[in-house]
Amino acid sequence: MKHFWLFVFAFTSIISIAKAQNDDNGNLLYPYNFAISTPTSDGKIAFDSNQLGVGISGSFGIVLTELFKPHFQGVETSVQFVVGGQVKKEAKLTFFEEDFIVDGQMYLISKLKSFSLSISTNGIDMNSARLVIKYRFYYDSNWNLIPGITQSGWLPEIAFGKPWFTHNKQYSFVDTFNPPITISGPTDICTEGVYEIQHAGNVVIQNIDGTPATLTKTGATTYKLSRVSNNVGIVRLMATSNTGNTANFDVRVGLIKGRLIGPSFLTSNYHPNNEEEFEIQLDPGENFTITNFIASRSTCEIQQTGPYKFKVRIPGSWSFYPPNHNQDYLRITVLDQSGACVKGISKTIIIYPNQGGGGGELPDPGGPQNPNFGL
Amino acid sequence: MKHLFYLGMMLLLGFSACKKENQSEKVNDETFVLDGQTYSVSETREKLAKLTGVDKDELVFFRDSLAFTQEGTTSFLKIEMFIGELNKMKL
Repeated sequence: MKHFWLFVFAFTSIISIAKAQNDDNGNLLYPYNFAISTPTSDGKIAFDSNQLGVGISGSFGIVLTELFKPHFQGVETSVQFVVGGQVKKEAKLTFFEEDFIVDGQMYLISKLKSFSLSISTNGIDMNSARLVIKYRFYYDSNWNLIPGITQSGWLPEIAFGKPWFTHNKQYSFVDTFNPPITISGPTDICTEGVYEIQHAGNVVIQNIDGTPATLTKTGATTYKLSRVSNNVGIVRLMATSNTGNTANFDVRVGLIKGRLIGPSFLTSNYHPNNEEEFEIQLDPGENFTITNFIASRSTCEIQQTGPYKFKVRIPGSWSFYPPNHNQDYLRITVLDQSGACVKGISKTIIIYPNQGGGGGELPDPGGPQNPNFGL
Repeated sequence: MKHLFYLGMMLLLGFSACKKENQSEKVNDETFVLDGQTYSVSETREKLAKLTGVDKDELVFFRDSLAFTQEGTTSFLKIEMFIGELNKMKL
């Protein structure tokens, strides 16, 4: 009866081996606790693609089945760095009977043994790279553990013609190189500018002053900003990496370096007292000649009052756009089109409805009153 | 009468001492239950350390998964896998 159950157990084992062929399932012994003691990320072995290689250390042990324990003589293992099916590096470990003995008694579970490997990652497709445990052990046909195997030798070679079993648990690799994003290129452009942006996964622009430019990706790391018409303003390049790094870079498009000084709001009142003066203050050494004005709404009137000065008037007929009828926006751009580069400066003014104070609202004349006014 | 009093005092002292020791053991020694059996965490840690050759101070117990991990590694030693062998061991 005892022999019958032994046969059933052995037969079950060999059926499992036949199914598994190269993995652990149903084997007479197999590795356990394949652990890594060097840095990992999400269970993957971390490496830095900016370095030439990485050192890996770890440990594992071997579990014996009760059936095989009396016959165990040793198991050869090899921790292999495999890329595309090719073994690039390996560390060999052998487990002997003594590795299973504690206080003179042999157990089914061995002590953990350590390994270390120094692998090259330079020029390697690390997406397909794996760290695996291969193992093989000697089998004597006289043990009669596996029906049908009459030859003695290394398993799995004698059963399947393959040199190694492969442990089910394997490690893949993850690149933890996390360089900062770098953006290089001109901070001031006239019609277009080319930018080199390194280590960014995504790049977008934010128009933080007007709508001065559009962005085009021209290469893996190159981008082009193209000015929209003669618009002036500041555009912000916003880069984000796949690892969460961010970087911003502001570009002045067609902007002079000076400032446009004047009120930040006007009321819709055609009263002469409501004429507000604006002045362009240039940086030292900068030249600027006012050649024309551009306004985002045609209802206003603009009059140049000096080389760098002008007045803006908002008529009472100003039509406030929904949804907010109590305030509106007017963007005024002053341009110099006399040179090779059209440059200028802009200012956005808030328009409020006249509240009827002072001398009262004058009727909207319906167009420029003064031939010097207008766009 | 005097002898009876001394005997009573000795019995009282003996019982109270035993009670204190038991309470102390329960408080200091964590346990876990696996397959209906109650095990001591510290004893299991010590046996597992002997079996695997890992320093017992590096083994960290995780009650939720009934496993030990080895500090600084990806080790995950599920007690269920070892309990048969650990039951055979004596400290």
